[in-house]
Amino acid sequence: MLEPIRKYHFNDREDRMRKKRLLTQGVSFGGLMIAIVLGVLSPLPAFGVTLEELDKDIKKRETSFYREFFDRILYEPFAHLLRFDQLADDVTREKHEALDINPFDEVPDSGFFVNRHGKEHLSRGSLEKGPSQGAGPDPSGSWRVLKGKTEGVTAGFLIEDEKGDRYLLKFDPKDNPEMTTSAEIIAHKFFYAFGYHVAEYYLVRFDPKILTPDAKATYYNEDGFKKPLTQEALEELLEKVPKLKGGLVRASASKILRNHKGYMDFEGHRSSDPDDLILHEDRRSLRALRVFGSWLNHYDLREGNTLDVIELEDGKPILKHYLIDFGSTLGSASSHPKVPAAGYEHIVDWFEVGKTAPTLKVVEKPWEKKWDSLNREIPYPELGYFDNAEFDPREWKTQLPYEVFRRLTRGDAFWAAKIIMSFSDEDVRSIVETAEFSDPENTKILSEILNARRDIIGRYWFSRATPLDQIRLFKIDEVTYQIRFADLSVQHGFAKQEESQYRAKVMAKKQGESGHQEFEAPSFSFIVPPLGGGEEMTLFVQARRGSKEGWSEPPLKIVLAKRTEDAPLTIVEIDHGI
Amino acid sequence: MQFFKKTNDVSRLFFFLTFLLLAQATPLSAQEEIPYDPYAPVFKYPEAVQLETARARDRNRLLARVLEQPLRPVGYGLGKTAEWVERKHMDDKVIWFFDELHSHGIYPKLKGPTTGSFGTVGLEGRVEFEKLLQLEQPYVSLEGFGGWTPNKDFDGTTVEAGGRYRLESPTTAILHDGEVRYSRSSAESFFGIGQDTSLGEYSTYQPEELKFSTGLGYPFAQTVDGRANFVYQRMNIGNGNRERVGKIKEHFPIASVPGINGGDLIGLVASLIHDNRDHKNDAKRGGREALEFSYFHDTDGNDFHYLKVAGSVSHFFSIFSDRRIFAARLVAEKNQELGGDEIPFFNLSRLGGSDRSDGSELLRSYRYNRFFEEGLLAANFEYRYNIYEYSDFASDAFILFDVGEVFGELGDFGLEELKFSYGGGFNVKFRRRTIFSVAIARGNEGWNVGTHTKVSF
Repeated sequence: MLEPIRKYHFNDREDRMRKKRLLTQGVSFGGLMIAIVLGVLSPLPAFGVTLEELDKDIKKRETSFYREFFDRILYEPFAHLLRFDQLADDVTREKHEALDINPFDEVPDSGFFVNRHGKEHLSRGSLEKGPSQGAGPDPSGSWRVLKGKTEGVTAGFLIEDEKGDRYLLKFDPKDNPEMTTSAEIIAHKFFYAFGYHVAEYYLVRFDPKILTPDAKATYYNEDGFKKPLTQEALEELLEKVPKLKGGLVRASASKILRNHKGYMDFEGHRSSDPDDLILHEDRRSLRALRVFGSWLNHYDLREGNTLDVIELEDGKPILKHYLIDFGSTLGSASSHPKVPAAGYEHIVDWFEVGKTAPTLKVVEKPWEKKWDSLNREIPYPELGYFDNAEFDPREWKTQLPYEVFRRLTRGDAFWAAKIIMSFSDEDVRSIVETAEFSDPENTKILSEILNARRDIIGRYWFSRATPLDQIRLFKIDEVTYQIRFADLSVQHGFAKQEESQYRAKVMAKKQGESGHQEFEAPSFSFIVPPLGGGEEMTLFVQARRGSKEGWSEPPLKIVLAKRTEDAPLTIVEIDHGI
Repeated sequence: MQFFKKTNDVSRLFFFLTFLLLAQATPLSAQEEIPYDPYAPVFKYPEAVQLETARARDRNRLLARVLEQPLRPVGYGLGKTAEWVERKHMDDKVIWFFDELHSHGIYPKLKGPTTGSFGTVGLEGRVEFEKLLQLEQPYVSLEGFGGWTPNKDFDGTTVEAGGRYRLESPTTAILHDGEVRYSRSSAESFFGIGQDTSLGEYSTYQPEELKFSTGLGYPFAQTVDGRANFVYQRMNIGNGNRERVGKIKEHFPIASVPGINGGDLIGLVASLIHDNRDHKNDAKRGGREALEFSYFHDTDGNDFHYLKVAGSVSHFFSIFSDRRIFAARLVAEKNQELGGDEIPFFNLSRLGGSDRSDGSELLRSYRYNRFFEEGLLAANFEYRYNIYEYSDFASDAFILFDVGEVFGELGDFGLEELKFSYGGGFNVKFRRRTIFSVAIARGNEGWNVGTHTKVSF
């Protein structure tokens, strides 16, 4: 973790004096408003340093899809018009650089994100294992059903196995066997490999006879009434679930996260968490969910599908922000295949409606063309509605709109695309295989779709930045240094090395700015101007493909500095821009 | 471009040239890599994680959003309500409630007034008694219906009640049915009879109608139905309730408006309907044609005696896609008095408004019941195109064009007399059923806005 948990205490007197000063500045409306604001902004609480104290400080909270629907579709668009900060951004088109990044344009490990596959290629075994710590509920024993699943759209049960571990069982819809469970198993492993904190999910096959309802178990029936979950009710619910040979049932089992504190905001921050001081919309790790989501078609990325959990990390209590519920990824919408507009439009997309209305629908939307080309039928029921046709990473949308996704910059997207591109065809296939499709053809098709979408994402976002990475600095002699880099577009086959050209310029505070120097190999050397201790020089590097193409924007910025006059030059900052 | 502007020219040139030369000369053999940790656990902007910075930022943010603050409690309350609805499965319970009502043959529905009182709604409903009494069989059905609609603008209400029965034979396709309907409206608009009436003639009347009809029906084919009905109609007409608006009996000479004191009539109605639309509430192809002949005679010495011929044709065309529909409807009516008798004004053809279900044909920029006359010719055109579709919900926008004219005799019809409306609107649909519709139209008499819970045609 970045910093130890701090314990903050505030001087009440100082706060009171500050408020008083402001109040006495006048009785103008502005002064009054500030006073109101200060009244609302009561001092942040004293943060706990122990697990128990943190547990006490951080309150549990809940949300639901309907609430998020109201907030995001009805309230926020209106409230947006009353927010001067957002209106100013709209007018000036100002982009905000992420604040959770380090000087080298990477996201350091935190309660939000831990660098995994993007940092060091995970082994096939690690990718297949994902976040799993064990083997999941043992189907050779009996499972006690504690209650029916009450949220979301799929049938499910909360169970406790013989070891006392609790899992949420979720099933496939009858018309789409393997669709939801495979989406959950595959997507959670990808998100874990990206670096997110993800609950443990297991693919289980079990004889329904091992399920025994607890005496106090209840469920909501289809009519919305809470009923005792009797053996008969259990059997009736399982009737709606597709059966395997021998009457076995296939399900995904997600291990219940204990001691959770409810959902994570996608905007603002949790003021009771001492490690959570950066606005979430300014966190690259959260903004980039839009890019990761676009690959796996996780259109249900929303606050309700997150969970904050207090855990001990190296002996320190921290709040970890988990992603949960991956049943609506790939072609699945949990209880049915995704609708054709999913991923292309929000559930109610005022912008798209406003855009379509004046055009009289002279031109069909891309997703409509795609759906029509399939005669409005889903070709692979086990995969749901998922392919790479008409997939546009820039236009991909989640079901509900969030400011955090709107704030995605080119630098954020490049970072995410870089991680996505770190998955080889074999990596993808090894994860897809863990879904254990009964028809191997589905594994092949899904892997190919994911590979194709991965490449579309890489090709697009690499074209929106200067796709140079793995920057290395070499000292040739006392005044000569060399920069070597990897051109990710070349590395991943989106461009040919022989057609690639680069140019660099240097800027130093005292010496000013040089002209651009062009070169064709992924490295260049330069003479360092006389720099004092602590002084910096900046290199701006751009790439292009063929002499007719334009130079990449924004340029890659590499800042070099000397700690002392005699010390060697070091890289102190890398920036792919916004 | 300026180079090295803060240094002397010599060092500027040296710097530029050396950078140039070495850049061209790459690669050089590297001597020593100067490592760094790209994943170093430090922030690029350490001040962003300072508590005071965070507090100042939160404070500024709140100030920038001060206008929103009064709304937040409202938004929070509504959001929490939405959450409660989901957690308690209230939506499922509501659906269950209506499913239960339907399974018992009870069909409640919201109903808006024909005109005025924008946004006000009343209730209407029907009860299928064989379902209510669990006597389900295919041969006999009996239902009652009723409705109540407040209309604040018109200072009153509309009420409607009645019943209908239907008998089907197990051996033949002929069916027999009948209906009794009582309706009363505290105020309906009346501007006089003819094409040239003016808004200045605005008055209201209070219709109270008892209507009984019984007849036979026969399905000639899957898409063709024929009917013959006997009709009894008793109509009382009073002055409308609406204040500051003329009363029909005070505003118009009694002799100029046949039927101004009501009347009793009997009649025979024969109709033939061909309907091959793909969907009754959201047609994308096919059409509906109807032809109706009626004969009416008074039973109370009012000298009402007339024939009526009415026909309508509507067709729906997909334009390269079922997301673009051109819908057209043509309606023609002619009432012809017989033996020098008269036609009561309340049974004349009517034109105006955006709700044709209560008898006035569509001319959407004009007010409901704007024109009364013996004959009518009107056409409605809509280009409907999908603007939203997500799961069970969809929405169409449409541009509309209405044209129509009322006339006394066929010879009076003239193209120069045609009235026009143009505008647009949208329909919100759930499972292809329009649940909300708005139409805004403009014509010679200005703008008119209509909201409904069904598609226009």
